[in-house]
Amino acid sequence: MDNVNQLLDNVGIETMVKGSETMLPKGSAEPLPIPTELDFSWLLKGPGIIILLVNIFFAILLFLRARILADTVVTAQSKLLKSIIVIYLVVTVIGTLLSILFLILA
Amino acid sequence: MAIPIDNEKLPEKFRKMDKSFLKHLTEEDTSSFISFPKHTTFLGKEKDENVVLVIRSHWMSYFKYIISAVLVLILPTVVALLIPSLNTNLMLIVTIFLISIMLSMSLAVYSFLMWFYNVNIITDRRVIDIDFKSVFFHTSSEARLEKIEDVTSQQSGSFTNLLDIGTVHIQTAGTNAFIEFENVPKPREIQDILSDLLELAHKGEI
Repeated sequence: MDNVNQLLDNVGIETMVKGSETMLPKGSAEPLPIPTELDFSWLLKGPGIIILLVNIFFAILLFLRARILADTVVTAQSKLLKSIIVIYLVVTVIGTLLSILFLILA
Repeated sequence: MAIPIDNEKLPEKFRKMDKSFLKHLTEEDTSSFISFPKHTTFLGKEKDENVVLVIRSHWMSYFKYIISAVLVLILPTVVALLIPSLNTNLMLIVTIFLISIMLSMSLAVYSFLMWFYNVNIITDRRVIDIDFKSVFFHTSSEARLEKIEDVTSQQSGSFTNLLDIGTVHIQTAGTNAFIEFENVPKPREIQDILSDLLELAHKGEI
């Protein structure tokens, strides 16, 4: 191998690393590992983020629609309903932020 | 939950009347059929106007949303069982469960709001129909009692007969020719109530 490298040096070609199965040129980056099984995580992360964004958009629209309708009809349960929708929006916003953070870290 | 109603709850002008519709109104209320509700008002309500009946669609109309919410909640468990390699990534599993809980909650809140705001109101002056179709739009129709020409109730299918739910069609003289109370409980009683109110309105007794 040393003789080969010496020969290559003489003709101006980069030398090869001894003992490496991938035989990369000296000083180059580490070889990329060849995947032995399918990684499903990115298949779920992408759609997951899209679903979360759609869900938060839906929650905001639902909140606005409920606010309009709350002014149209007022019943004894209206206050309870307003509380439910505000709690729902807050939980959705916090849940979405946490989920996106977890998805990025996962 | 059934709430009994006593005659004292009837407004003054209805107490002296001897009409069959009052019998339906003094029967037990349900969450979808509330007679003479207190603290109920709406946009444009007149000072001396009495709300006679508040009707909502039967909860069975929203059964598909309830089932969907439950399925969305179960889905991550099924996915985790089908793809065992996911179990090695605990954070991803937790996130999938979190997403499913939020989607399920959205469906539950959406179906509840749809039930709550798909509301029909009968007063001693008019009929109001509010339809919460989706998050993007809702419709609100109203017709004064003197403008109503015909009231029809319709029940089709064994399931509707079993639960006593149906649709009440109200034909009006206005541009919006029809008002529909869809999938409401006790449709024949509602028809009778409306017919009696129309008669009283034409006679000028209310």
